[in-house]
Amino acid sequence: MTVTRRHVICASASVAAVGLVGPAKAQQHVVDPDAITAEQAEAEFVRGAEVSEGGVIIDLPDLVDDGYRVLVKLDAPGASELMLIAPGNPIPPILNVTFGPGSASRRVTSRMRLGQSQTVIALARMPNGTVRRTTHDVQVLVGGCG
Amino acid sequence: MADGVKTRIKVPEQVKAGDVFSIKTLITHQMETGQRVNILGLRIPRSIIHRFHCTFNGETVVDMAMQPGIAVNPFFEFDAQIDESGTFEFTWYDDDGSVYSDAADVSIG
Repeated sequence: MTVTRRHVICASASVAAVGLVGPAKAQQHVVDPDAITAEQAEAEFVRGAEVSEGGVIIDLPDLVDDGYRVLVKLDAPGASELMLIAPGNPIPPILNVTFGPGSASRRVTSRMRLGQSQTVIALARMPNGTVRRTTHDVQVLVGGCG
Repeated sequence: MADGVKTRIKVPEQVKAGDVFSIKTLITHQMETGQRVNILGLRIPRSIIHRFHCTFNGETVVDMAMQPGIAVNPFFEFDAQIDESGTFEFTWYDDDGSVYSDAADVSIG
């Protein structure tokens, strides 16, 4: 592995972090065996229900400069549960939202990480049990997962 | 407990019954993904806030399950609507077992 400026900067930050959280476990940087794929995450949410395209509004820029913090707004009128998936991330599932009786809309805003250019998926469970699905293509200049 | 965790919430003090208003929350937290490696090539263990729960007078407003894909200093904005005065309670659950909470009183005006 060639050592780039980014590695050096990340590494020096990591040293400081290790000091705070205690010694890191001796592990290779391999694919996390616990990480599930985007398909698995989607299937887990859908649970065999009928899926139709559209019905969720993903407010996300088409071009993102900095994948470390990306503002994302989701709106799924009438939904009871929302899920956001970034298939291009090392850990694709991002966020599950359950709306309770005190909630006034099905709108939620947060900030996520994006590792690379990809097609983000938003799923919404409707009260009748069906699932709505919307995708959004996003170009990422600097990935935020390393 | 992670160092320097601070919660910030923005809720109106007074609203009209039935009006929709937005709530903003933020918690300072490093949200270590568990994907990064340090200078020795060792993985930095995951340490994130994995759940955020907001209630009003004990009833759920939103309940969120978060993964490492949520950016550092998790921020949320969502809408609420109330018919009576009461208290919003906000709870964040850390991987290390810590629980952070905050609350805000809202009255009907």
